[in-house]
Amino acid sequence: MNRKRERLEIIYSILKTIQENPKNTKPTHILYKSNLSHQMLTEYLKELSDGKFLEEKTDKQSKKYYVLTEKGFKYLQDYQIVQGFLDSYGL
Amino acid sequence: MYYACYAPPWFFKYDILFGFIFLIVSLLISAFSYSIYKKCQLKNVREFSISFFFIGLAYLFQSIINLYIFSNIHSGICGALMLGNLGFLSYLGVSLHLLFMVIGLAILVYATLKSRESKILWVLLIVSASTLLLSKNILYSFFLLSTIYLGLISWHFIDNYFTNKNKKTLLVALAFVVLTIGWVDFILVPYSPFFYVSSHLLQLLAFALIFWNFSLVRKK
Repeated sequence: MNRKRERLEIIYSILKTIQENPKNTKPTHILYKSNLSHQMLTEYLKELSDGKFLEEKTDKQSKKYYVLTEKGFKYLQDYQIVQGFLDSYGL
Repeated sequence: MYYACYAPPWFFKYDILFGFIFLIVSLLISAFSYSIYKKCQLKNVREFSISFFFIGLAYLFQSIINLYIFSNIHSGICGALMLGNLGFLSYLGVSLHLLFMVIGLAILVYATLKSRESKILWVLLIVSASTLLLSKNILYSFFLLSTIYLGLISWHFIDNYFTNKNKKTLLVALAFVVLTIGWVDFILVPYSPFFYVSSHLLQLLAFALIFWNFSLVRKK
């Protein structure tokens, strides 16, 4: 598969995991769902956080969790359209 | 001898209308796929967008030529109009239509190949342009080349449908198969004006299917 397309899917998978568990998305949960190495996930999360697709927060027990920003939600919506387009033309 | 037009006189105004419909749909697909490219940055999506832009340009020239003919010739359109009788502007318009259409289809073939080798694109473009420019019978070469390209594109979309069976892939595969049949129909135009009309109707059906898929993909 094309590297760029693979990357889009990884980002989608990370953001979708956060969307499905809005108040309780821990890094280990994302790691499990996205099937990435720890190092790669850390890089992706940093990039997505820097790009304001998600926000890192800490709960009362000082554990990290993630929430989607508006930009993150928009990415998920756009991804469906992009995926629909790519699939329908087999690109 | 280059046949520019075998359109039955009663069909000429529909011909112009069809040309504008094909132009609008092609440019819509081009603009939409470019917006997709901006989101995903995939090169073959950019090429897909460029290919429809060229196809749109080809229809733009066709529409301009048809309007020019329609406004200048009020009678005796029936039968064949020879390119030589249309004057330099029309000849230029027809040549640009053929050139842009073949370039558009060649780029679309390249986009569906999903190749990262840009040399393949250049070979396709050079072969397409030189075949048209060096040919003694430009229309014959055009239809031969474009039918081969459309056949390859249809093959890709049929294959895509069997890999990923759903309504959208079916619509695209059907659209390009119908478009190819319409193109083959056009080759038969010298035998009967009926083929001119049926070719345009098939092209209209193909563009309607493409537009239907376009509206489905745009839905969030």
